[in-house]
Amino acid sequence: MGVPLLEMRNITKMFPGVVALSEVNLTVDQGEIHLLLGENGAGKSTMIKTIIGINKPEGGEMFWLGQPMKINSLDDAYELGISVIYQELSNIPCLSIVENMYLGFEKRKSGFIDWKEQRACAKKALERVGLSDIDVDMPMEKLGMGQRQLVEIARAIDRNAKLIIMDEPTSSLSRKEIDFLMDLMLELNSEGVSILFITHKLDEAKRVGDRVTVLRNGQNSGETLQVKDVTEDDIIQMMVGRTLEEKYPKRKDVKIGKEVLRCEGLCADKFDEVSFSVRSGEMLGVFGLVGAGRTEVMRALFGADALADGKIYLEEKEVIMKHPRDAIKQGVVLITENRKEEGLILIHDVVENGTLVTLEKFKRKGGLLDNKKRREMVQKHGEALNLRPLQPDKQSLNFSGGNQQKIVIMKWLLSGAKVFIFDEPTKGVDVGAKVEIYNIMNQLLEDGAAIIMVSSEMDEILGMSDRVMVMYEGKEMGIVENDGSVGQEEILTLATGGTL
Amino acid sequence: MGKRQKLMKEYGIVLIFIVLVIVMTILSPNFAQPKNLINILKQTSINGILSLGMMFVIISGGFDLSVGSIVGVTGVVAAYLGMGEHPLIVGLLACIGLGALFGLTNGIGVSVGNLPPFIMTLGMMTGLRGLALVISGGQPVTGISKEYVNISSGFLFGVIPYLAVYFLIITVICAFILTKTVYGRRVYSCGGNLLAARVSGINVKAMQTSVYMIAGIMAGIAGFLLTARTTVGAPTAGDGYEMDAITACVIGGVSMNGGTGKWFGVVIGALIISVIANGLDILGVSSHYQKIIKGIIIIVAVLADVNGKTKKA
Repeated sequence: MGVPLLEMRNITKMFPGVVALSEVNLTVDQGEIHLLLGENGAGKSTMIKTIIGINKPEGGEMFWLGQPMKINSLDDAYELGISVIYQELSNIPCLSIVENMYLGFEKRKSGFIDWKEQRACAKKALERVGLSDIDVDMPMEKLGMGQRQLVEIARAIDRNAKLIIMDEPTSSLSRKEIDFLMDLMLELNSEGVSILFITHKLDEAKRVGDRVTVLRNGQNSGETLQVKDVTEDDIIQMMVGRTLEEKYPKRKDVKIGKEVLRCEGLCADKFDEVSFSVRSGEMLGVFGLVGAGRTEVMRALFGADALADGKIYLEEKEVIMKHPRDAIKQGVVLITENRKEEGLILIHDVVENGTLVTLEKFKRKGGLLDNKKRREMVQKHGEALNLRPLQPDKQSLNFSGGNQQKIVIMKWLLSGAKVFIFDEPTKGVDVGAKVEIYNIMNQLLEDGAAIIMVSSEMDEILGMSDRVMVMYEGKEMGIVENDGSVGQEEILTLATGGTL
Repeated sequence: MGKRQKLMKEYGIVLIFIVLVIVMTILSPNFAQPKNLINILKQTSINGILSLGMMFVIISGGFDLSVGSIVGVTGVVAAYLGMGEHPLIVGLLACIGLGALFGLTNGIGVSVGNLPPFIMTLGMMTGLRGLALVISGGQPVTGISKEYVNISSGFLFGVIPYLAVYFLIITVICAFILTKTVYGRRVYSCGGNLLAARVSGINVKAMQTSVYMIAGIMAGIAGFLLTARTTVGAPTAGDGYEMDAITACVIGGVSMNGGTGKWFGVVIGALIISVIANGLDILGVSSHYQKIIKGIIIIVAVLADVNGKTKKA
């Protein structure tokens, strides 16, 4: 093992009004895959930014191969051999693969870009990541998410990175792509490259990690441990600082009632002949791999995208959803997957966001809005949803992921909807807030609503749903009762195109 | 953010305005003369009305370059209709109708045609200026009735210029619409995040179209008043007014990214432009230097806006 590749001692970083990191230690050995875990806001990103020189820490020391590390900018980081692969990919979609790979680090010959050399090197690096027959002059946007990720890794390889930092690289990849990426990580690792791996998915983490460092509230939560010595539950406990009694809280006294919504033979570009129904008090889970068409079905049902064919019945009456307006009027609402892009108006406060759909209800005689009542309603519902901080006038961009999700849910709660469609409700939400969101869902079911939950997390699907619909490449593979008679394996079989 | 900071953020513009007035009063004794103050009010009114229309468009996430040309077209039309053969209301309604029609065209181009607002309204700006020249034959239209001139030159109770009264009425209406109606809040939500607004069941195409109509109607009213004020319908009138309107919005804290901005900021913004122009005139600063000063003010105002943006809603 020898000298650690990267050693960070007592790193302290302050931002105006907050201590983001307080005396944090992190050591990455040569040739190891090191896990850096923690809830949202625990300080992982701040830590990465400190490593690559974007943040200047107020206190602490950093060493690279035993030598004091002088790092002032990203250039210095590359110079040392540190590459970062971000969660949100940092490439330019309309430029070609080769241009993206050498952006800012163009290979030159007498002042001009040496295209020949760049193409040759790019090809060589891309081969290493399994993209051997790809045209390097193709624009980046033609590639899938997984492939783009691989291009970034190829870029890191090409720069002879000694340490690759991966910040949630798998959050938008399909199962197959994740498997490939994991294998690639192990392979790179066997060739001596160290990886600092940040993820929310503990099963992945356990699969590849050698050692694990957990952060909580900007501090180390316990010692750095060998991954083989800890269980997922241990890690969760370190992340949240307490034991979570139930990852998936049980529902009490929920009566599954009459059918509320029924869809027959829904068709559009990305899916074909999808039929399902959901009853009041019931949660229908919708599982499938990325690209299975789940989100597309729900968006069409909600009227956000066009439906080519099929019928939708609400309480036995046929309805037509041409625009989200129609669906909302009928009491069918969609909590979209990407809350930042479609869920919230980030620059507006909780009152504006929370009452956006239901503005009409706050009209006084004469048509003017009762802004005081809007605020009171938001305050009341914020309390019920345990919104933190409970500040109706705070801009929604200043809330954490889980609390932003609560604001979105509040918006629809106020509308008095009967059918709630949740698309990846806990994506990017930390462990503690997840349980709170499940509790809110359970409350909705107790109150007689029907829920459709689209999720890529098998655990969540099995932990929460009454029935599970499985999709594969736009086709409905079956609906199974989640009463213990089917398990993970059967559902995965369906989700990958097999039959039971 | 502390309460005082927040107040400063919201009402800082008012403070700047007051300081500006005090400075001008000290520099030039003529500035605070009642006659001059009334003159400033008159100068502000027409740009102020245009700025209020522009405010709707910018808050909704767009902007409108064509309002100056709409002023030109409607001003010429108003002159033809204002020679005493028709009741004045005919001219006003024609201006409002034309403004609404041009705004509708802009709105449809942007919302249905998916054209960038810059392109759509640039085209309208150029085309409508041409239209103003065609219908006037390239010559100023003269001979409007005394009654029509009175609309702008008269005074309420003998002291308050009618122009300022119109501006006040329109300001009150706009303020109510923006802060107290469902429509107003939806304008903000479209500018804040168009996708989220759509998914929240808002008819965003109709919203986008309507804000351009509001801007067009305001421009029509401004055209009608400008002809009364200058007593001619000049086809070149209103040239560059769109920029003054955008400037007033920007100085007043309306973000060019959409979603934020307050009506009183825009009103103060329009007043600041007039006070500076008037003050510099009185001080004898040449109009060439005035342009430089105006340019600096725009950039400084946006600089303040951009750097405070993430903390404002």
